[in-house]
Amino acid sequence: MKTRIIFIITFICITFASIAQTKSKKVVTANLKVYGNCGMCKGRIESALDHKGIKQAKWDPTTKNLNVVYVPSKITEQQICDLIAKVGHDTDKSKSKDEVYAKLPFCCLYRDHDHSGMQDDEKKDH
Amino acid sequence: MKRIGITIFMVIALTFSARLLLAQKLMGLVVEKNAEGVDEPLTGANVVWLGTSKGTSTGENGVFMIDRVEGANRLIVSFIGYRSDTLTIADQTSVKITLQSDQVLKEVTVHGWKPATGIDQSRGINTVIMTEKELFKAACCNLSESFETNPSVDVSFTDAITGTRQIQMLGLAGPNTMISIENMPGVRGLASSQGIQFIPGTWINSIQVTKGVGSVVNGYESIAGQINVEMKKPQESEKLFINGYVNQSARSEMNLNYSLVTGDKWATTFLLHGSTRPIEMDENDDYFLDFPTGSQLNFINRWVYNNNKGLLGQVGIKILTDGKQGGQTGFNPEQDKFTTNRYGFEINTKRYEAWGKIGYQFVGKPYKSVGLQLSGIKHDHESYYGLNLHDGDEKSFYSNLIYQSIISNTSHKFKSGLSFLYDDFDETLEVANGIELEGSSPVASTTFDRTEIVPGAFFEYTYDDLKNFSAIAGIRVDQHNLFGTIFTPRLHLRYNLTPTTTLRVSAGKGTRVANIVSENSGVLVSARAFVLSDFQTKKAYGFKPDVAWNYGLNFSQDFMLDYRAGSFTVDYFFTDFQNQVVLDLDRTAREARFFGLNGKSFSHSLQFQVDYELMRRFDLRMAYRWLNVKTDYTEGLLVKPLIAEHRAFVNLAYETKSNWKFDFTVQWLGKQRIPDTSQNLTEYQLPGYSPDYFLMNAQITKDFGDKWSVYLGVENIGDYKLDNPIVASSDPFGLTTVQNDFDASMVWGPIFGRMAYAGFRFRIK
Repeated sequence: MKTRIIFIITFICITFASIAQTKSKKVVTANLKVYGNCGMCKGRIESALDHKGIKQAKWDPTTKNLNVVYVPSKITEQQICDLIAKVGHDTDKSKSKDEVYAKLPFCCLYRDHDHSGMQDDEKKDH
Repeated sequence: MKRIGITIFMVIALTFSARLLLAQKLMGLVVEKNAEGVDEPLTGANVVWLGTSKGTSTGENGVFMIDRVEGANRLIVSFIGYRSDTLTIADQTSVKITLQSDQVLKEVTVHGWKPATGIDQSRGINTVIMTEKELFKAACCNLSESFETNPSVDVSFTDAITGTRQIQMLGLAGPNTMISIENMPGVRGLASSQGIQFIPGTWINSIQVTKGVGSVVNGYESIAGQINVEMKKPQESEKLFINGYVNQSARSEMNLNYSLVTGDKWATTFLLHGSTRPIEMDENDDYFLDFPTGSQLNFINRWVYNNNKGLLGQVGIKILTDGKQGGQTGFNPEQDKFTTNRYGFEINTKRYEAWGKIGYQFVGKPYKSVGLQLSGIKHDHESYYGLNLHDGDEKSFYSNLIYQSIISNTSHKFKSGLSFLYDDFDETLEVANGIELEGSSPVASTTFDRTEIVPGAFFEYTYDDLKNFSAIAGIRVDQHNLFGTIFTPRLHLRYNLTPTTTLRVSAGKGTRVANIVSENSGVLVSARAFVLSDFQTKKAYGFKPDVAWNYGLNFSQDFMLDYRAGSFTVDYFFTDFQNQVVLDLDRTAREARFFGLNGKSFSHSLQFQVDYELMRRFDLRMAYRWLNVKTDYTEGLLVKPLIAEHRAFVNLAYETKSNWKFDFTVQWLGKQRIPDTSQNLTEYQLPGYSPDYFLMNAQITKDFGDKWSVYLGVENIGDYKLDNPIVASSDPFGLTTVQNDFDASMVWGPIFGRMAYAGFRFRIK
C-alpha cells in the first residue's frame, strides 16, 4: 500500500514539475547566421548548443539560419557563437580556428565548397 | 650603445617576424570531380613544397595543413592515377585544388541498398516503431524481453517451471497477435509457445508494433495486433558486432553479427547466438528450479542482391536448436523421466528455416514494384512435463506475391497479390490424468494431425490526399481446405485535425486456427486432465478457427512545452470474438476444459500515454492501461484469469553528454483473477484475486568511443516474487493425498527476485 501511494505521488509530481517548469526564467529568441553545409553540420552545431542556458537550437542547412532560444542571464550571444566556433563553424561574431576546421568531414567543408542539398539533409531533419 | 640597441632590436624583430612567417600554416583541400561534376575528396594525396623535403598528405576529408617554408612558394600536389598539379602560393591561408584523373575509366559509384520491395509500412496504419536505441534500454536478451518500455505489450510467464514467456496485447494471449519476421511467418504454429525466445535481441534492427488489425497484405491471422521484427541486414548494420551478457545466476549469452559486402551487387550477414543457463537455482526453497537450465544455438545467414537497376533479391537460412530442462532439483532425465521419483521437464526444439525474396522496382517509377516472398519452415518440438508429453512436428511453406502501383496519381495507391500457405502438423499428446474427447471415456494418449492448404488473394487500396486525410481499405479472400472461405475486410482511416493532432480509426476482421496445446502449454505443467468438449467440426482439434472483429480509436496530440517536444496519446480497442476456442480452468481445478465459444467473449482496452522530454536528454514516458476481458465460461461470464485489469508504467531515460545512459522503469500491476481452486485441499487453495504489485528495473550504459559499450543493470529491484508459485509443489504426483492438486500454471507475478546483469557491446562500423 505504502509503495502504491509513493508511486502515485511520484506520478503526479513528475506531471506537475514539468508543467511548473514552463513558467521559468525569461528567454530570448535569436536568429544567427551560422556557416555550414549539410545534415552532419546540423548535428554538430545543434549538439554543441546542448548547453546550459540554451533551451532550443535549430539550424537550417539551406538558409544557414540558426534559431536559438536562450536565457540571457546564463549565456550571451557571443558565448553561443564561441561554442559554435569551437566545433568548427564560423559565425559573423566568431571565426573557427583552421586546425578545427581542417578536421571536419569533407561534406562539411563549407569554406571550400557548397554541399547543401545533399540527400542526408532531409534524413537528419526528419 | 644606441646603435647596438637598435641592432639587437632589429635582430629580434626580424627573428620574430621570420618566426611568425614560419609558424604560419597553409590549409588546403584536394578534390576531384565525379561523373556528376560534384566534388569528391581525395584521401592520401601528397603535398610537398617544391625544392624541399617538407610535405604532408591529405586526411580522410581531403584536407591538409602544411607549415610555410621560407623561400618556398610552389606547392606540388600529386596522387596516383591523377595528374600532378603545381601551384604558386602567395599570402593566402587556404587553397582548393582539383586534380584531374589520368584514367579514362571512372569508378562506378555504388548506390545504397534499398530494403526489399512490398514491405513499406503504410503511415496510414498506426504503428509504433521500436528502434535499436529503445531496445538497448533493456539489454536482455530476446524478443520476449524487448517490450519492457512498451506499455502496449504485456509479458508474462505461462507457468512457474519452464520459464516460458508469452506476450499479450489488448489482454489477449500471445497468438492473437501476429508476430512476423520481415513480414513473413515468424512466431506461429507450433512455435507459438517458445518462439519469441528464439529471436535474440541483438539480431533485431527494429520492431514495429501495430495495435488492432493490421494490413491484409500479410495474412488473415492478426486479431489483437501485429508485431513485425526487422532483423539486421547487410548494408544497414555494423561490419562486426559482438555482444556478451552474463547475469548473477550465470545465464550467459554471446552474440556475433558479421556483415560483408562482396562486390557491388552482393552482400551478406551472419548472425550467431549462443546462450546457456548452466546452474540450478532454487531461491524460494520449493525444491523446484526457479528457471530451467539449458542452452540455445541459433544461426542465420542471409545474402542480399542488388543490381542497382531495380532488381533486388535475397536468400537466407536459419538453424536453431534449443534445449531446456528443469523441474525438481536434482532431476536426472536418465533415471527420473516418466517416473514419480522426481518431477522434471524437458523442451527440445529444432527449427530450420529457409527463405527467399525477389523484387523488381520499375526504373523511374518508385511507386511501382513487384515482389515475391517464399519461406519454408520445419519445426520439431519435443517436450514432457512430469508424466505428460507433447511432441509436435510442423512443416510449412508460405509464398506471397505482391504487386504495388498507383491509380493515375500517387494519391491513389494499391497493393494486390496472391498468397499460398501449406502447413502440416503432427502432434502427440499424453496426459497422465487423461484426455477426454467430446464426452468419450478418457484416454492417456492421442494424436492431432492436420494439413492446411490455403491459397488466397488480396487487394489493398490506399488513398492519401497528401494533406491531412488518408484511408487504407483492404480485403482478402482465402480458401482454407479445412474451414472453407475466409473473408477478411480491414479499414484504417487517419485524419489530422491540426498538424499536431491526429485521429485514427480502424476496424477489421481476423481469423486464426488455434494450436490449443502449444498455446496453452502452461496447463501441461499441472495435474489437470485435458477435456475437449462441444466439438464444432471433425477437423483440427475439433474446433472451428477463432474469428474476431476488432475496432480501434486512437487520438494523439504532439506538443511543445518549454521548447521541448512531447506527445499525448489515448487509444481504445474493442475486440469481439465470433468464435473462439475457450480454455476453462474454473469449472473444476481437476481439468483444463477446451470448448467452442458459446456466448460472448470480448476485450476492451483503454490506454493513456504521455511522452515528454523533461530536460535536455531526459525522457519521460508514462502510461496507464485498463482492460476488461471477459468470456462466457461454463460458470458464466467471467473475467479472463491471470490478467491485470490495471497497469501503470513510468520509464525515465537520461543520457549525459559524455555518453552515460541511465534507464529506470517502474510498473504497477493491479490485481488479477485467479481461477477457482475451491476443490483443492484447504492448504492448496488460492485466494480469488492476486495482490497488486510493483516491478522496477534499472540499467546504466556507458559508450566508449564508437566501438565499445558496457552496461550494467538490475531487474526486479524490489525483489518482489511469488512466495509459493507452484500449487502443491511438495507432492507433484499426488502420492500422499487423495487427489492431485499440483499446478504450476497459476502464475501472476515474478518467480525469481532481484537479478543483476552485466554485458558489453563491441562494434566495428
